[in-house]
Amino acid sequence: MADTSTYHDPRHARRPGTLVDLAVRLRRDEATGWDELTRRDREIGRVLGLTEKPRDLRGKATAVTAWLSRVEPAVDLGRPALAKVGAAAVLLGLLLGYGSAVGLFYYDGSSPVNVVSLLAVYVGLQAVTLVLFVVAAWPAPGSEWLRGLSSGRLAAWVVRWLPAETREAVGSVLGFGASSGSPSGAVYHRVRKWQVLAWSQSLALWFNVAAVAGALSLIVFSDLGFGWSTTLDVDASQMHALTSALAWPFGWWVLDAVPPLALVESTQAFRAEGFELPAEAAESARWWPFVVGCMVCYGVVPRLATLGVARWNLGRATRRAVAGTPGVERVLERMISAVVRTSAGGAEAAAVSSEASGLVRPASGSPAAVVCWARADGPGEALRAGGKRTLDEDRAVIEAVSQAGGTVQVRVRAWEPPVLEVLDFLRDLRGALGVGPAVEVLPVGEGDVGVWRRRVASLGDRETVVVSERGEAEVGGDYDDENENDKAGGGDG
Amino acid sequence: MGDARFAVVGHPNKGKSSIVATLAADAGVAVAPEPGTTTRSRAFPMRVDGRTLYTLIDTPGFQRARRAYAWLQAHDEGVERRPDVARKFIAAHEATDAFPDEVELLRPLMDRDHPAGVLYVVDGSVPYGPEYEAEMQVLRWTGRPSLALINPIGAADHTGAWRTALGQYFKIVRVFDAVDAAFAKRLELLRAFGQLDEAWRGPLDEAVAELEADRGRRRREAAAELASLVVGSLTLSVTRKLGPSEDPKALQPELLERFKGELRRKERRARDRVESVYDHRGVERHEAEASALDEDLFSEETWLAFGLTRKQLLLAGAGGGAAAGGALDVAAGGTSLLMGATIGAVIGGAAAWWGSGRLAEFKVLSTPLGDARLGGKLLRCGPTKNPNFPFVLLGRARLHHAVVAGRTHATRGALVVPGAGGGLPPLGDERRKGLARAFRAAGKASGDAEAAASAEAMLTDLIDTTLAEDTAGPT
Repeated sequence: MADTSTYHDPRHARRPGTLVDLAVRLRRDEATGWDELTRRDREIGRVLGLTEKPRDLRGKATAVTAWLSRVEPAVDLGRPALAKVGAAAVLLGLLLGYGSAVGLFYYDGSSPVNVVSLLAVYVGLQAVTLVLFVVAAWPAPGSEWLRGLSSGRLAAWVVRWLPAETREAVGSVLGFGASSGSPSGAVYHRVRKWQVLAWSQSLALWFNVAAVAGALSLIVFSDLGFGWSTTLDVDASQMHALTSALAWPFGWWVLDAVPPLALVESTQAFRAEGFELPAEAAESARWWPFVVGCMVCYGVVPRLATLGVARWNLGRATRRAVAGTPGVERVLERMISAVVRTSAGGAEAAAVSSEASGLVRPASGSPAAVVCWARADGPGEALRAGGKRTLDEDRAVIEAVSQAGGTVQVRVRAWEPPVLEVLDFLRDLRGALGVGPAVEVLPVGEGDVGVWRRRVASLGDRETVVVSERGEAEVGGDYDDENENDKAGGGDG
Repeated sequence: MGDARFAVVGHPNKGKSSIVATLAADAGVAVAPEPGTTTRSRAFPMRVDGRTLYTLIDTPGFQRARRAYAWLQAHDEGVERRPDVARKFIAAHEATDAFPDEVELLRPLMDRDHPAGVLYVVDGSVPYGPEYEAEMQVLRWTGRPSLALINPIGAADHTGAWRTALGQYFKIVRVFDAVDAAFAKRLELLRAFGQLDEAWRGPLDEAVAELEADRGRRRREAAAELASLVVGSLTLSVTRKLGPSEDPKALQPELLERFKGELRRKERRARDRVESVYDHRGVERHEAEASALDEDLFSEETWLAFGLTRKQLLLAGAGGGAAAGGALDVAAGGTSLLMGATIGAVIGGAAAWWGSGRLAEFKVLSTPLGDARLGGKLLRCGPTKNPNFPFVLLGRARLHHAVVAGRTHATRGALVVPGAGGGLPPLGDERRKGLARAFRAAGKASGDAEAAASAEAMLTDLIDTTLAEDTAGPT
């Protein structure tokens, strides 16, 4: 198995932001050619020292996360986006927690701070939400509706304020903020579930932390009087039993945290007495270690644990999703596969083409001499040049036809290209004939007469022309005697 | 390791550049009917992770072969000195206009450090001509190992005459159609290059192995693209908000068109990707008349060409259902007397039978967070449950893949696709059942990225095997 521990911190593969960035990266790669992708990913694979594809989830997730961090330009949308949602959860928790403390610990001397209310919010409510967390976290189907109630769902409102690409990426992974008509409706349910729970537990934790901080600040900087009051039929001994039970987890080491029966009895406030405390305010203040102990024990500590559980599971689900994301196997394959290239790279410069155009004239019926170039068919009396013959033999042919005194027909094989050797022959022939006699080049057989016409025209000799036995119009433009020489581009030899 | 280099030389317009384009898989090579299209030598190194295993060199054609040969003869210093004379020819003319093409084509052959072997190219569809003899004589003077390639550009066949003529100058003569050469043929030719020089055999064998592996990776990549297309299409749905007074039925045609449009877009994107994988990026997809790819994804002709018959669907559905039911039997330790498989087969077959008629279903959804003014309702079209649809989609994709994978880089013009069916090997019963299972898994993955990923992985394996069989034949 490939050792992936050396090239990247495996913790990155557990971060949901990585999953979002991976989705963005793979989507952007769709617009990149395979050639470029293979080159890029192979290079990264070599830098990372990856020689074979990891087989396990952890290895795959770590390798692809390392790859993600090295692809340029870097994608870093997921982490900041999710951090914003997380920060919003923390902020909301702090605000609610501190607000609850200010409200529940409110004391103006007219009535004591009711311990029952404090226990209801900081113990009772916490217990209920903890149970809900356990049910929501349970893998059994049917708990989705409960997650729908989670405070983490508020994330959807935060996601709406993110930039479009980030919002879409978060939506494609977690389903938040995705438009209802989006074809990419698939989301990572496990990651989504644990992300929502992690945010909700983060909110709850900071709610409790802020509540404790608020309570302590009020206890330290103001003079609070505690009492307890309830409409229910609860007497002091029952209340004492409850508080003793609640204080059990922390009472053995914070001795003052267990309210004595006398304190419970003396701080019971009755409606009939206008909620006035029978005890002195100083006496009633002895409730605070119990209250704060409960807030820490049943608020902060469980939330630390549930947040830890949610985050751990979130990490696991994320790593699993990262390794299983469609396209990851292909990335890993590209990282370990040799880049095979056979091309030269870049397109070859377009060749210069001669541009002469026009009509092909019919061959004259009775040329003064006929020369067959390189085995081209011709009448028996025709002279032979080119092909296997030597250059001296060609010169002898030119010498012979120059004496004929009239049109010279040069028959060539139409399927062969007009190479410079033929053009040299025609040029030499014109030199020997002088101005006047026409030289007709007659391509024989099937072939591209247009190419012959253009190349012969490139000689710039108006009396040396390509003819056909029947005289056919050439597709490609009108023949213009006046402009022919201007149009004749240089051959590309 | 010997630096294997091969100069592709010959008469102008005999397909040198086409051979280079095909062997180098480089569509950037200028291929044109005008002689002298190639004016400069151009190297096409075959590299594996930057390490060159061999180099093909495209050269200009001979333009004044007889004249060059005459020059060599005039400067002959004896047979053993002929390569030196060839070098002198280059030195004497590289600054003149007398032999620009001959100098350019001879230079790689006479390189002192890494002289190239000769790949002499002729057109086997035109008659042999004596003017070629001067070219072959000039090449002989270089003293380089050589091989002749008969590249039949046109329909006529003159390869017999060419074989006889070339056999007098070259030890190895091969026929190689640059435009229609199957991938296996290209590898076979590369192996033949190794026969030119013992030192080149190793790198060329390695090159062939690397090219085969690379081909397999490209096919796998294409299979992954097609798997992604199928899963994406089977999980696709489109929605539209419903106003309180709007009739869902009246809005169905519009939504169905949007649904089809999305599917078409996905198919087009997948085709682009497959072409990119085979380095045919940007090639024009000329949707020729009567072409199987020209037909719309949803046309009757397409469904007739690529879809399964109801009987095939029934069998594939029953097979998939039986497999799912069989899993229950295994879980029951045989106490179910194979009832799971039987019932699964019946249900799967029935679902395939009844579901084969329509493309997508419509559903009105309530949205808890919906806009109250709009009544909080959504009209949804899809995902498709039609068991035939993924077979149609895959059939078209297979045909397109076969055409792209079989297309050489010497081919110019649009993709030309054979008629419906395209001569692809039919899917066997087992493959059909496997695909039906994977399609069902994909269909159930709607909205669940992890399930979709799992279905995609399953489909990639099946499609890869199918594509391998598709391209193992004449392409």
